[in-house]
Amino acid sequence: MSETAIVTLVGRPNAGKSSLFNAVTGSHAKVGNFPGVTVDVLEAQVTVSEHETLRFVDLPGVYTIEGEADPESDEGHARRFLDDLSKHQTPAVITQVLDCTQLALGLRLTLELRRRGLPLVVLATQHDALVAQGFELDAAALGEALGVRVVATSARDANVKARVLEATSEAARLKTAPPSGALDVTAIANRVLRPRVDAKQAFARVRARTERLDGVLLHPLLGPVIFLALMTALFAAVFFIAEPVTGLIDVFNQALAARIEALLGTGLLSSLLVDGVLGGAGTVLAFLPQIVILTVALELIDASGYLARGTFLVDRLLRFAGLGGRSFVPLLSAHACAVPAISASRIIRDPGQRLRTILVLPLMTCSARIPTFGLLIATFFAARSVWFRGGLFVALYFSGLGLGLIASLVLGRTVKRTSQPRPLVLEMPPYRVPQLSVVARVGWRAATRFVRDVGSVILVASVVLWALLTVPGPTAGTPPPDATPRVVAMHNSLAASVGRLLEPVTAPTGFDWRLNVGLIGSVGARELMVGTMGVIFGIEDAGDDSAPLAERLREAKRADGATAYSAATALALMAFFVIACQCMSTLAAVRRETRSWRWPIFLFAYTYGAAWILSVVVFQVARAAGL
Amino acid sequence: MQTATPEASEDTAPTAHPGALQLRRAERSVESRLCCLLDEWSEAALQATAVTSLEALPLHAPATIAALKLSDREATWLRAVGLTEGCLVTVLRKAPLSGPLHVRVDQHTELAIDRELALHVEVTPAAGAAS
Repeated sequence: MSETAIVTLVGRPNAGKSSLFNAVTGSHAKVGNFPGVTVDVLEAQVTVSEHETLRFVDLPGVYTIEGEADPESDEGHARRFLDDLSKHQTPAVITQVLDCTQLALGLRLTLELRRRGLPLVVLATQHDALVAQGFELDAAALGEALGVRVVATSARDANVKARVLEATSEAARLKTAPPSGALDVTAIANRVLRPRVDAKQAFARVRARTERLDGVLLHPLLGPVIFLALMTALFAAVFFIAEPVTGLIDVFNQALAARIEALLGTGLLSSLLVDGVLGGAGTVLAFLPQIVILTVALELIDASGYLARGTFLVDRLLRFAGLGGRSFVPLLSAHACAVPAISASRIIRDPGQRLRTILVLPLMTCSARIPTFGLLIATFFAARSVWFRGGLFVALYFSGLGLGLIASLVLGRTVKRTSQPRPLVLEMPPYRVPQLSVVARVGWRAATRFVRDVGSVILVASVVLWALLTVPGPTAGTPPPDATPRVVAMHNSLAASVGRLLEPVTAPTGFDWRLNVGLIGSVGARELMVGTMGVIFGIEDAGDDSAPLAERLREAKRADGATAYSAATALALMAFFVIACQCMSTLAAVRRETRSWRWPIFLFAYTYGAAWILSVVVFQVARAAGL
Repeated sequence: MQTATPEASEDTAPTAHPGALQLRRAERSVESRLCCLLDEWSEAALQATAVTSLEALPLHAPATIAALKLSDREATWLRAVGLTEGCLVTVLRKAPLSGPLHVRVDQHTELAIDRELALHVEVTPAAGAAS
């Protein structure tokens, strides 16, 4: 059996690379692990014959592989990969996916690829779209002009796989380097594009359709309204449609927990499995539907050509905060949940802008903050009018967005990697009907990637948090007289010891050791705050009905008998919740998207630091104001 | 600029003094040179005002890219995306709030380009373009 050759797919964004890769490799693709490449590069082995297999690699879309490039950009990654390919002894073929409706532009990249000195095949895709525009490509003439094999195809052709395999296999066998001289690409394009009889009318028809759609979708007034309506629908889908599926996952988790307790009793192992594994990692699985819905919706919007239009409409709006049009979708969806929003940041091509967006996304007010806000407002502002409480809630909700934009400006000035983004230059691709098989695979990959995270980073974090809240610490506490074993365990836990140890640090914020334990319990997920506080105050089902907990919080006393918490404490705690990234799923998502521990650690440190400062300010000001 | 002068009839007028005739010829020669200079100057002036930035180009008025007055890095990036010297460009629309421009490049490519960047793309309006 001959050595497996690497066939690298290279092409401009929107050239139809993913569709072609999908058509050739079927469902065998996985994310490859290549040194120095920190973006998802898909690879798949394809059997050509009994004696030959080819390893297809799908690089990110690039406009150029020459000149200066940010190493973290798609161009930088592609260039590094091609550099490595030239150094290795493994047989390799570069396969350019070229959109033949933009032939002259694609041919500029062809000239750069020819200079790489590796066997080259050009797959001229979108031939059906070219025919619809009234032209045909003379592939043989183009091949002759370039000195490489050219295959004209489209991803919907029934025999696309056979034709691509035949051409790439031949190139791998012959190992012929292409000529590298300069060529006049415009002249070549004019020569090899043959107009059909009805070329003029066909082209006018295609253009009129695009212009009609753009006339509506990019209309100065109607365009932004349609964009906002579409984004709201997307937000609603993430928020509401995912809910029943999330409910089903919860029901399954509860049934499994009951079964474990029936089998193992209520010992430590049972607690580890039920409270640690299922209560932590199992609960996080509930984010899965949101992630899949958002990923699929974004892929549909992107593949149809609308994402570029949306970016065009709102780019200016976000530029002042150092973000861009493509940050809009992740920022909006982060109001439902930051985890899928961080995955959605992949649509941002500029690496600095993408990192900056990722670092501010956790500040958006997600649904997990709402139970804590609800509990504290109900507990400490019950006597105030409905308008006051409603206003406070709205202020808290939008403070996330405001603080996020401020954080973006500060990050841009202090963190070099997130410095001023490149000005917008974006291709506005023609409108196309997305290929459902490609969209489905993108959704599937997002789901498997997330489940893998839950099974690794999040599982470990869940078990560590369980140990903190369960394993006895060096100092014993004084639980309430009617306390259940679980309440006693938490009062004597390591977390309680750490909470007491942290009291001098949190005293200026008005938090005592009990609130500190609540904050430790909610490091994994914000929604655990209410439940953890419930256990601390001897109420085990506070998540279902928070009224008894509210009463205990109002009546809570310090060691000296003074009232423990006031409205000032509640405001400080809510300020803390607005900023702190209390979500291990978010941190795991940042780790996955940046392929580094540096950024999740930075995110954790900067949000907790800023949360502490804001809480101190809020508590001190509120107390001075007599609250 | 051509001025229609009844030169032949004046030159051949029988009553004219030879000195006066010479003077008139000299006057006409100076006048003609001045006209030529004026022509050249106005053409140059027209060309000078014709070069404008992509940002200032009126909607739907075709123009040719004359130069990219940007850093090497930005110019390379723009050329790679498809905006090169000599390309025919048309601004299709401008995004609200001084947002980017929607530009058609040659026949088949459409781009969104930041307005600040478009200020540094010099274009020459095509002959007969709408102003």
